[in-house]
Amino acid sequence: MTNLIIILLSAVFINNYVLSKFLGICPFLGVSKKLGSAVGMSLAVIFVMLIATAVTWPIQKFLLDPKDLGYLQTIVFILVIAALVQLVEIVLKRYIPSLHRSLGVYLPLITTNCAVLGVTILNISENYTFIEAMVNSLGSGLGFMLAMVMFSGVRSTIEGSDIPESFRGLPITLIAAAITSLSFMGFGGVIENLFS
Amino acid sequence: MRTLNNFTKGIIRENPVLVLVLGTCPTLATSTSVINALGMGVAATVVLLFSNIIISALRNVIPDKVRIPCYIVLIAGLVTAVQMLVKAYAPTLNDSLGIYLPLIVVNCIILGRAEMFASKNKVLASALDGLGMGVGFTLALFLMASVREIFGNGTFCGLEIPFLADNKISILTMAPGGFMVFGLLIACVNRFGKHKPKKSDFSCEGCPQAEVCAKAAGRDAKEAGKDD
Amino acid sequence: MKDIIKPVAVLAAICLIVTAVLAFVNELTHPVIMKAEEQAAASARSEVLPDAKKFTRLDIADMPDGVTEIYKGNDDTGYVVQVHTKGYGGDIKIICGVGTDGRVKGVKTLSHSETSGVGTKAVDNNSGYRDRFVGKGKQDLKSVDTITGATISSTAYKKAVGIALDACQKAMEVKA
Repeated sequence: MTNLIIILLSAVFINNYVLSKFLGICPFLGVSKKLGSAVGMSLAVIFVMLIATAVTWPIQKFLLDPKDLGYLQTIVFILVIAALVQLVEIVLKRYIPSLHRSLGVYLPLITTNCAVLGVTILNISENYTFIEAMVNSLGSGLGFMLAMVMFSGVRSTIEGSDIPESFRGLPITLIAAAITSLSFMGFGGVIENLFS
Repeated sequence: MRTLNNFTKGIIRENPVLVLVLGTCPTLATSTSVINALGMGVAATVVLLFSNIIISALRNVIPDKVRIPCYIVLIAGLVTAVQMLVKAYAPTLNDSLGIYLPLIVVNCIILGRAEMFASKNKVLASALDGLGMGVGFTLALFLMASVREIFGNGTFCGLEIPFLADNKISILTMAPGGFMVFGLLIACVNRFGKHKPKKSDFSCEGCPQAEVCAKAAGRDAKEAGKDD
Repeated sequence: MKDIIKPVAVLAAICLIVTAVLAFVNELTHPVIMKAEEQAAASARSEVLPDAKKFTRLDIADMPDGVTEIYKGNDDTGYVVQVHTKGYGGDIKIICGVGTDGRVKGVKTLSHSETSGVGTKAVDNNSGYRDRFVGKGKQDLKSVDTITGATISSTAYKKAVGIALDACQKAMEVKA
């Protein structure tokens, strides 16, 4: 149990996908301007990460590994994720239209989101069991959400400030991301000491 | 002359990283050392060159409806091949690039060039475009990695630099340093480049998903309007 | 009808061709990859047990959890054990050389995914932490401190060394 909590917390705070592993930077910079879209995007990411892991983990362990086809991992995973995203969109549209209205627009963005492909590949290369893999995906998704939400707050402050001309737009956004990332490093020691 | 232009535009004027702002994930992640950056740059360039050639050659065969899945399969195949070759002949590079090597698949530079250039142009032009973009990507990575390694670790390609090695700014090699150096570099490009800084906050023009992204953002704006 | 068949056929054809090409490249590179990995493993073995010139792989049943491979050096120089334990970010894989006196000759991290700047204080081969184990036996292991700020990583590292020592103990018992 402690093991699972460590995996969860370190995925959220320490090995945060956006701020320390640099995965999913595009949506982090592109969709974090408003709190609403930041939350919507992150919920969609968590959702897809969990489903993708639930599907790709068994594929790798029961299909690719026994047949020595490990080298097809990348190609199979990305196709599975793409197909899943499509499927989820169709199912949501048909059966839960309210959820589709709130998450639907973000789903196509996720197909080529490196955080989703990244989490499925890392779950395999870290040798996680199925439960550990699911917990890691949940943690990674929550970490993505935390980073997005925090950052959208930071960005709304930047909007109203007077910024030197060269720094306007992307540069100041990146500097703000650097400071957000710096504040995350502080979690390192906190979680370490919770379990020692 | 116009053919040559396809090659040179990717290096500076339309540099994929510094001007089009694509492929930020690998740029930030693998620029901790110059060797890693060059390895990543070369691997991505090879994939980009071949994906542009193949997709351009098949542009009349691939039906429009399934073009994105087709591109993704082709790119994923190329990436896997490159990954196997790197594992076989440069195992240390494979260890240091780790997860970022298979993730070249979702590098938006590659899908972006396939969609915006290779699917509409002849093979030679596409090859030159891919090569130019690849070189531009590698150069930008090299620039970032040089700054981060020289000041962050006091070394260059692993060679120690006197004085700087005793006064490291270690934060530059860590995650926050990546964002910081990238932000400063783009600010420099804005300041000294011919381009005036763009009016929009974050430009998506080079990204194959710009349309979807804009839709997501647009919906927000609409909702915000409703609240008022 | 044609509108549906053609896209599907093209996509399927592309998938097939790409898979075939990959299978071919895999045939070519697989032996080279195996050889490179074997070479890296061999050089890691001689690094942690420098006295030994030749290693033979042992097959012993009921090894402690986490042991993947165990090798015996020539002429009673000692044993080399490959162990993995769960660290902070995932598996920490180490290789540990143990003399016949049951004391550590050398340790090396093979792979890890600990946080850069935090967990790496313990698991990085240049951090100096691994040198603290040299010459230690099972009963001295307690005296090796964990690293402040990298408690989980260094505890996992220590645990791995402990497992390696147990495995050697077992290997010697089996032989005797």
